[in-house]
Amino acid sequence: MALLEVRNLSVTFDFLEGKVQAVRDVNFEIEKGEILGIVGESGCGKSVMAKSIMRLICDDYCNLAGNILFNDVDLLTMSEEHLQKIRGNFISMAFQNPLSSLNPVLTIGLQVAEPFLIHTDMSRKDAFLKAQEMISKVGISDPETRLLQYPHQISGGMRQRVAIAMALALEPQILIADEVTTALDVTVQAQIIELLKKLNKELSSSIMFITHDLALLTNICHRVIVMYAGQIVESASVDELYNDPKHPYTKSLLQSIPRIDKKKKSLTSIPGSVIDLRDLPDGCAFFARCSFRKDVCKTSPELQQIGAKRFCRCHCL
Amino acid sequence: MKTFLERVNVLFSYIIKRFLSMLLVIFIVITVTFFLMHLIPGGPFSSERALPESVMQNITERYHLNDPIHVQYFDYLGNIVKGDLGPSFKYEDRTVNQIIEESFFVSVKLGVLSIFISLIISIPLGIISALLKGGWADRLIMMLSTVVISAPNFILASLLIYLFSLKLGLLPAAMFEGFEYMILPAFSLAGFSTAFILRLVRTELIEVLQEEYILTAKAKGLSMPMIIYRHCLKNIMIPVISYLAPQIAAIFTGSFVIETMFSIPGLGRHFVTSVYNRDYTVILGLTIFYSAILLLLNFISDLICAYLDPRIALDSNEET
Amino acid sequence: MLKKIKKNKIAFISFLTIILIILLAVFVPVITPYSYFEQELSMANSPPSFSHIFGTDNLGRDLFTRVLYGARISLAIGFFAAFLNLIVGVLYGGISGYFGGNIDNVMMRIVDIFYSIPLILYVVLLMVVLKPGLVNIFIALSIVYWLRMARIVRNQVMSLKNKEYVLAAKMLKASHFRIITKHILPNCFGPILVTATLAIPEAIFTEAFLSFVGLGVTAPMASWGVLAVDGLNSLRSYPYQLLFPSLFICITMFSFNFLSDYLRDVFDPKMK
Repeated sequence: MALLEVRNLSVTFDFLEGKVQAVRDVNFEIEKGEILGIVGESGCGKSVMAKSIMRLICDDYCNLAGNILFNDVDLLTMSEEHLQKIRGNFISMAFQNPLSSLNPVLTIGLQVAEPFLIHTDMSRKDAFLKAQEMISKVGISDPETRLLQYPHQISGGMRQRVAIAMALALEPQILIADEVTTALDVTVQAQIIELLKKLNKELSSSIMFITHDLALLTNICHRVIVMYAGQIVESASVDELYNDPKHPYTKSLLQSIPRIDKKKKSLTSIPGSVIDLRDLPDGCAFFARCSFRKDVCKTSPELQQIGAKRFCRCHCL
Repeated sequence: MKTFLERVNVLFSYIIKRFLSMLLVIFIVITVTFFLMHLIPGGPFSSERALPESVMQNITERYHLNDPIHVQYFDYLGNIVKGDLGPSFKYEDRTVNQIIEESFFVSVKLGVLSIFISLIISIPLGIISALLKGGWADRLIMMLSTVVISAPNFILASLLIYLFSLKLGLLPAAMFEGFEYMILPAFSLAGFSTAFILRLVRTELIEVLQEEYILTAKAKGLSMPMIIYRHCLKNIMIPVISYLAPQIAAIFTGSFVIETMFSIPGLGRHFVTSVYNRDYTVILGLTIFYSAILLLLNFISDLICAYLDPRIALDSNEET
Repeated sequence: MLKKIKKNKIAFISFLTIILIILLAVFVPVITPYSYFEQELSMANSPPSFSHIFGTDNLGRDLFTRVLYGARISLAIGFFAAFLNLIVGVLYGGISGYFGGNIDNVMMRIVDIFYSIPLILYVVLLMVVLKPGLVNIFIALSIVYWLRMARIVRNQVMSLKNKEYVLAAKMLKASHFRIITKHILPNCFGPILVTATLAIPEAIFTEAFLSFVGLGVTAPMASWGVLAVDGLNSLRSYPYQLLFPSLFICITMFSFNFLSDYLRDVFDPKMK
């Protein structure tokens, strides 16, 4: 049994201009201790999917369908009170922009101590001591002073460490890291990746690592899901995906990574732009941009199992 | 890294700086108002006024109008430093200080009560309105607040008098003899501020709720009331407090009207009376007094904001 | 979308109301057979009836007529204040924001100083010195009420002048005048319009206040403020005399407030 099973998840936004199908019939699972990468261009629905796992986007416009089974309990039908006990405790999340994901008027100490304050019956003093411990665990020097500082007083990389410390405070079983490295410098990116890997080993938390940067995934993930237009188009282990991509979209994503080990004339980019989710075509969503397209691609392809844990959504296999 | 002591030091020099600039503004206010009153042709203190010789002489003597203007100015300034705002222009035996002493606390009582009323009503309603944004409750609250904002306070006051005093006979409409006499005037006075702060709280809260750190808080497992309490209230209070000083100013000027309507012996009514009587020295003195009070309140609200909002850099060396 | 149209509808109704009041004010002489100063003491204090739909005041003057003539004065004050706000505020704020540096420092310090004192006191002070009257109300309002506009324009200009397209225009050696009129001011249009729309009810408000302390326009002319204050004195016996002018004040303020709320939503949802 997998730790988290996502079954037929669909997320639809009912805007007055029309429906937007941000996530379409997504199935996957995360095993204990696994680092699962989710990759795709911006607007492919990966972030919406991540947020919907914890039901963080349930406003009036948004419809969630399917099942999200966490230890066999469905998060989508759970009561809000029950869900609050899971959020931050068993599943937690860190966000893209470390500048805006921390409250500017509260001290770092309070924000890191907060999970302890709400999920355990620790005293305030103990919670702050634990917070201090967490802050030094994510590699921030001088934790005692940092506790009393405010987010604007520390650097972006440090802020992201704080956000991760906050998310990992209660040693959750799953950490959802939504583009946590995107807003950071390359060197800081590498540090954060190392940090996540280390924490994954030490705490044996599963990590769902979301990014649009395929190159980054190879450094950290065990398994990768490629998303396009709200659907999974390919899922495979990192090695398989990297050495033998099946889906044309994955192939072109890999080709657009600059590499120094292979002699290549120029960097390829994928022609066209991300599809408009309000106006999906009947056939394959990648049809317009695909260089292998055939007539059969005008009907939508199914996700086929093509290996032990390999899936691909393409007619041209 | 700043130590605690350095931080206190920074705060202290900030306070000193703000205090000195406040003194400067008060000085400018005094100067401008003084020369406005004295230099405008045909103004109360100019010598071309057509008054009977004896009256003119009397006035000239009492206000040293024969002295050169700069001497008069420094006299006035010197007196203010000593805390003396001068005598009344109309009544021989009254001074501006006396008027303030007699009536200031009446106005303060009324003002504090109405600020209290407006905060008690506006903050919860503003929060409700923001949380139910677009719903019928929100629309009703917003509609009412626009109505209240659109009505000058004497109209609101007369509506209240008409309803509660003339028709229902529940509350007294005039004089000042006990707590029940303060209810109608305090509510009339609070109307505008209530609506204003309510709208402010609503827009601020809607904005704050869209911030990513609210999502973070939610992802941590906080309940909605906790999110409001811990992650929104402080952020909302900053604009509310920084707008409180102008609101108190609005209550000041509102009190001119309301105190006159309800015959409350406060500072506002004295101001209106002195305007009616063209009691120039009293107008001058009270204007300066009001300005000083307001500047002081501004200063205090700035300090509270600086305390609440860590992003306000107290000096330019602060690392960001 | 639905919500937007609904909000639009209120804005639209507000707009129509304002137009209607303006038309009424312009065409009073045609609409009513009475004049605003004609007294008919035998008819004094008569309640609303068929011949006097708003009733008459204590001197027997037709209240409907007086309210409409009052609209002329109150609206004139409102629009004039907004216009002045526009000219002075945009010029001052524009110069301060565009040139920046020390000029900006000095100019904005001056605004700050004025801003931190209760302006209405100074309107009163000026009116006391200048003596009541319509022209003096204009003068007093104009000396005092351009501050907010100046601040808003200055902040807009400040943020716009470092935008790429303005820098591009500068590189092309466009003149200051051209940059200001072609590249900066058009982009400040929204906030300027919103502020100007708000200035109108504020001026009407101020005038009503001045009337209350006896510094409004002088008899026999009467603004809404003066009419309301007159009505206030007879609240006990003839509440309708307060009701009608108050109603007009409130409806006008209401309309302008809704209109500016709407404009603000359209132009800049983040502006306060």
